[in-house]
Amino acid sequence: MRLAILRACPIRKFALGRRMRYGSNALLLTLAVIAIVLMVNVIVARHPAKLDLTQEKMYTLSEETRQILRKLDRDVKITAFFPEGDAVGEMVRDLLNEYTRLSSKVSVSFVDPDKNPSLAKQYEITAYGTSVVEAGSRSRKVMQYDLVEYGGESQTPGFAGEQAFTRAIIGVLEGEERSVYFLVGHEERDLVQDYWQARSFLEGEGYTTKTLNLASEGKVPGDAALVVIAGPQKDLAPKEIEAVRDYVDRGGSVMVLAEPLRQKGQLQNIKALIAKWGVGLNDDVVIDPASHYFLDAGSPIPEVQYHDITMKLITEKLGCVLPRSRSLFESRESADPGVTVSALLKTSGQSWGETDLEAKQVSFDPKSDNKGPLVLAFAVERVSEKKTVAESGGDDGTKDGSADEGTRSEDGVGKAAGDGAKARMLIVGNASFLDNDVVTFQGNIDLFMNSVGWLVGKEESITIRAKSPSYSQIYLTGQQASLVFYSTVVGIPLVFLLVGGGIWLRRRNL
Amino acid sequence: MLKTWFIFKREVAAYFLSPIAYVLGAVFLVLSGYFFSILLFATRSASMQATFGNMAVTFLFVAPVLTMRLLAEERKLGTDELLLTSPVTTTSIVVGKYLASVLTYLVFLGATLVYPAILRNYGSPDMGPIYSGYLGMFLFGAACLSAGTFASALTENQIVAGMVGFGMLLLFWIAGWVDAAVTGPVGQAVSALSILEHFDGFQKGMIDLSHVMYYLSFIFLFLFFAVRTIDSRRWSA
Repeated sequence: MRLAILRACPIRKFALGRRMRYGSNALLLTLAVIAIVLMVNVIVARHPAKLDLTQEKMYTLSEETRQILRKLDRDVKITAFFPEGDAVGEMVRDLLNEYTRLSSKVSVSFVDPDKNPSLAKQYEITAYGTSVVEAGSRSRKVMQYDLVEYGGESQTPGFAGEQAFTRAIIGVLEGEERSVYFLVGHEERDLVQDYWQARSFLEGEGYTTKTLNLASEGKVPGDAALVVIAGPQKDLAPKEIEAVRDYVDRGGSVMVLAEPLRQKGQLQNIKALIAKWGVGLNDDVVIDPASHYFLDAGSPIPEVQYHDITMKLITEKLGCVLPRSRSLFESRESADPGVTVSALLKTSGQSWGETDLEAKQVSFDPKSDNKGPLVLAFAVERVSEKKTVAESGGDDGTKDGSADEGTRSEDGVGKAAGDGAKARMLIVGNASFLDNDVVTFQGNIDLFMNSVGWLVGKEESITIRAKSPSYSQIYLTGQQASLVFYSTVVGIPLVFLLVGGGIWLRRRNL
Repeated sequence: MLKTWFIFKREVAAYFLSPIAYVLGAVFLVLSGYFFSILLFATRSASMQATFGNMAVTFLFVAPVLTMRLLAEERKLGTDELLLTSPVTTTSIVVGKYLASVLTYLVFLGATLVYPAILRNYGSPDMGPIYSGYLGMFLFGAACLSAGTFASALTENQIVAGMVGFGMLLLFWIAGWVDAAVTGPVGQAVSALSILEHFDGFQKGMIDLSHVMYYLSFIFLFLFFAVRTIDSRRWSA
C-alpha cells in the first residue's frame, strides 16, 4: 500500500508537469498562429488585388482617376450624406471604397443625415445624396444629380459617380481660387442686399465672390474665373467695355444679366459688346399668357432647351421663373467668327415682347411688339480665330454634344496659354431671377449654379464614361412564373429527398 | 494524406447513408428556391445578387447542424479512443471529416445551379457576378463548416455542439453591425471580422484577394483550433 503511494507520486508529478508544459506550449503556439494569420491578412489587405467580373467593369476605376489618386499630395476627406440603405448611396460606397483602396490620402465617411442632423447642418446639406469633398480649407459638393447621367444609347440612366467625384477632387486640389467677380458702378444688383442667397450658394460650392469696379481697377483681375454683370441700370463706359473684351480674348467667362430698363435705347455699349458674341437685346418686356408664374403674365416660365447647363433642369423637370424679362435675339451678322450660340430658355408661342414700356394695359400689337416664342437666355461659346477652320463644322451648338466634349478638354490648356482660347458667355434678359425672394423658386438657383459651373468649366476637362450596371430584365408569363416557382421550391428539394429516401430505405432493408 | 482520404471517405458515406444530409439539403433548397423565385418575380432582374445573400444567411443556420455530429459523436460513442490511438494524426481526422462536410455542402450548392440556368433560359444575365457569387458562396459555406467542426470538437453532446456553432456564426455575422455603434479603429477592427461583410464583394461581381484570404484564414484557424482542442484532451485524459 505504502509502496503504491510512493510509486504513484513521482508518476503524478511527472504527468502534471508534462501537462503544464504541454499546455503553455500549446497556448503559445496557438497565439503565434493567430498572430501570423492576422499579419498575413493585413499584408494582403494592404496590397489590393482583385478581379472585376462584371460586364461593365463597374468596380474598376478609369486610368484618369488612378493617375489623379496616384499624384495626390494632400489629404482628401469625403463625407457622403445618404440615408441608410439608399441604393445610390451603396453605389457611391462601392465607388469610394475603390478610391480609398488606391490612395491612403483619401478618407471617406458616410453619414445618415437623419441620424446626424447637426453634422448635416454644419456642412449645409439641403438634399439627400449630397457629398462633400474637402482638402485643406477648400471644399466641393457633389450633388445626387451629378451622379446620374441620362442619355446615351441605353434607356437606363448611367452612374456617373466616378466622373463627379474625380472632378470634385481635381476641383479642391486646383491651386488657384475660383473667384467670381460681380461688376459694380452701374447700379447693378448688390451682392449683400439683393443677391445674398445666390452668393451663399456660390460660396457653398467653393467659389469666392468679389466685387469689381472696372473704372478704378482698369482691367479684370487675373484670378477672375468669371465676371458677372448683374442687372446694370447704366451703361458701361467704352474703357470698361475694352477691359471686358480684353478679358474675354484671354479666354475669360462673362455672365450678362440685362433686365429691361424704363427707357428704350439704353445700354448701347453693352449691346455692341454682346453683338460681337452673336446676341442682341430687345428693348421690351416679355409677356407670356400661356406659361407664367401664377397670375403674373410678366413672370414667364420659359421652356428649357437642351444644353449642358440645363441638363439638371430637364431631368428633374424644374422650370425657371423670370419676372420682368427682356427678350434676346441671335445676331449672326455682327458676331465674331468662331462663335456658337445656343438658346437656353424659350417662351411659348403665345408670348410677345411688349415694346410699349409705359403701357398700363399690355396687349399684343403685331406692328411694334416682338412675336413669340422668344429667347430669354443664350449660352455663347467663342473659339478664337485660329481654331475657326476646325470648328466650322459645329455651328449649331445645341446638337454637337460629343464633339463639344472633345474640344473642351483643351480648354484648360488654352486658357493657360492665352491664345487659341475658348471663351464662354451667358446672356440672360433678366436679373431678378436671382433676387433673394425669387432665387429659390423652382430651378432658378440650379440654372444659375449650373451656368456658373459651365462658364468656369475647368474640371470638366475630365470626362469619364458613365457606367450603367447591366440590369438585364426578365419578364415571365404567369405560367412561366409558376413553373419557376414550383420547380425551385418544390421540385429540386423533392428530388433531393426522394434520392436520399431511396438510398436510406434500401440500406434499411439490407 | 492517404489517412485523411480514408477518414474523408468514411465520413462522406456516413453523411449520405443517413437521412441527415438529405433532410438538411431539402430544407436549404426549399428556402433558397423560395428566395430565388420570389426575388426574381419582385425585381425582374436577371441577377442572383440578392439570392446569394439570402442563401448565405440560410446556410448560416444549416451549417452547425451539418457539422455538429462530426467529432462529438465519436466522443459520445467512445470511438474517438480508437481513432486517436490509431496511427492517424489528429489533423488527418479533423481535416478528413471537415472535407466530408464541405463535399456535402457542395452537393447542396450544385443543386442550386438550376437557378442561373433558369436565368439564362429566360434572359441574359451578366454571368460574371454569378461566377464570383458561387465562389463566394463556396468560401462562405466552407468557413461556416469549419466553425461548426470546431464546435463539434468542444463537446460530446451534439445539440450543444450545434448550438455553440450556431452562436459563434451568429456572432461573426452580427459583428458587422458594430460599426454603427462603435466608431473608430475598434469598431472597424471588429466589423472586419464579420463573416458576411466579406461576402458582399463576391455577390457584386468582385473577387478580392483580401476577402478570399479572410475566408481561408477563417477556415484554417478554426480547423487548427479543433485540432488543438482534441490534442489537449488527449494529454489531459
